[in-house]
Amino acid sequence: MSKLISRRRLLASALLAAGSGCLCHALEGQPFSTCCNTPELGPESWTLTDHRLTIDLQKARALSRTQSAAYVIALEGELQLIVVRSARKSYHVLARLCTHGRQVLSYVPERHRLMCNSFNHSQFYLDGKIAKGPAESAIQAYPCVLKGGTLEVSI
Amino acid sequence: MLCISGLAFVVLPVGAASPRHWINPVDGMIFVQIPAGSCQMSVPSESDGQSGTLKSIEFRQFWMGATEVTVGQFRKFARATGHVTKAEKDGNRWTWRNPGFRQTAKHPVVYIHYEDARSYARWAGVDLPTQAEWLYAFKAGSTNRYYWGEDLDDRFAWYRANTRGTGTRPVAGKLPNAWGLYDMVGNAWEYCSVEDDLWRICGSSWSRCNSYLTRQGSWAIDMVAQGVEMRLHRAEKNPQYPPYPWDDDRGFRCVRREK
Repeated sequence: MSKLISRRRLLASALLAAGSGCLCHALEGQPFSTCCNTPELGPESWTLTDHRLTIDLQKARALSRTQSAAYVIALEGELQLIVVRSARKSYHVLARLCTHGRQVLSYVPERHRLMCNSFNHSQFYLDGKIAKGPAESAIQAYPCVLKGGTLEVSI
Repeated sequence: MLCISGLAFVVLPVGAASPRHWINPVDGMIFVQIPAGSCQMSVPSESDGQSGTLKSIEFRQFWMGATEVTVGQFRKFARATGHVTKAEKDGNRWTWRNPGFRQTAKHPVVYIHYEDARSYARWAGVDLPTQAEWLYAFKAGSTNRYYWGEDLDDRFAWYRANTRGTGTRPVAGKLPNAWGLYDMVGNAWEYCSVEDDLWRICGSSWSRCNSYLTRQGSWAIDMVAQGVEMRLHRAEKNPQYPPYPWDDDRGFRCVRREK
């Protein structure tokens, strides 16, 4: 009887662990960007030193596919970036807030541009220049270099 | 009649009419009959123009374009009258001829200023809807948030998630409401007259995210529904933040009122 109870407890524990894993995955959020929502890279996938942001692409799951995007938010919100992987070896790093009303931008892969999520939906090319207003200023684009499995961004 | 893709998109011979449809010989727009009736909507108070009182508004029978005015129809108007839109006169980079994404003649015309819409309506011998008319026609007798139900439904509306932010779609590509009106939610915002030269836009559009994370970290939700709230608004003559005069998601549809 004690062995049966132990097996039941073991099974229950295993099921609980599996369920928790599924729930955690669900709470982790959508791993890839959509036209309205973009995931944020966890701090385990990047380091920030002086004026250099280094993104470990092996850990940045949200950027594992081409035509994907992810946010990096650092320095308690002082640094807010969107990283776009537009092709297999092509990355763009830009400020993630629209210059019009400072709402967040999302990546629209079919149009190769960033689009503000808000009502006025200003749009920017991947070099930061304005594609469509009402924004009147370009968004800042940061130089970045692909080095092996990392992306190095000059801040 | 011809049904395309199982949808009730009615194609009638030019000049033909039925009790519920009228085809405008000027632009070929199919108008559907909006029956007389009443509808509850929030009406701004006289004192501050902000707070609203729920009132039942009565409507006489009128007719409304089954779809938004299309690029093809607007092109016919521009050729017939030589009309140049305000965006074109302003030297705007994008105009109804080149909105920045691919369109065919069947797409709703965009980059239209309110005055362009009025000029078109005059040429076509019709008018622009008032806010109240638009909302009444949108509801089509339904008591739900949307004319199909409470939740956003891809079968009825084009918005950012199902257009993937790529622009308008051909009109009448989604299911209509009970009175035969297409794209009352999504595709292009639609001008409504408020008073004199003042206007508002209704209906939401292809560019509208229904939900998104804001920079403040909160979620904006049900944003498409905001475009079809049963609430009349005042429009200020000199607002602190004037509305933008045109956009790549803004068009219109027309009404014809019984005399």
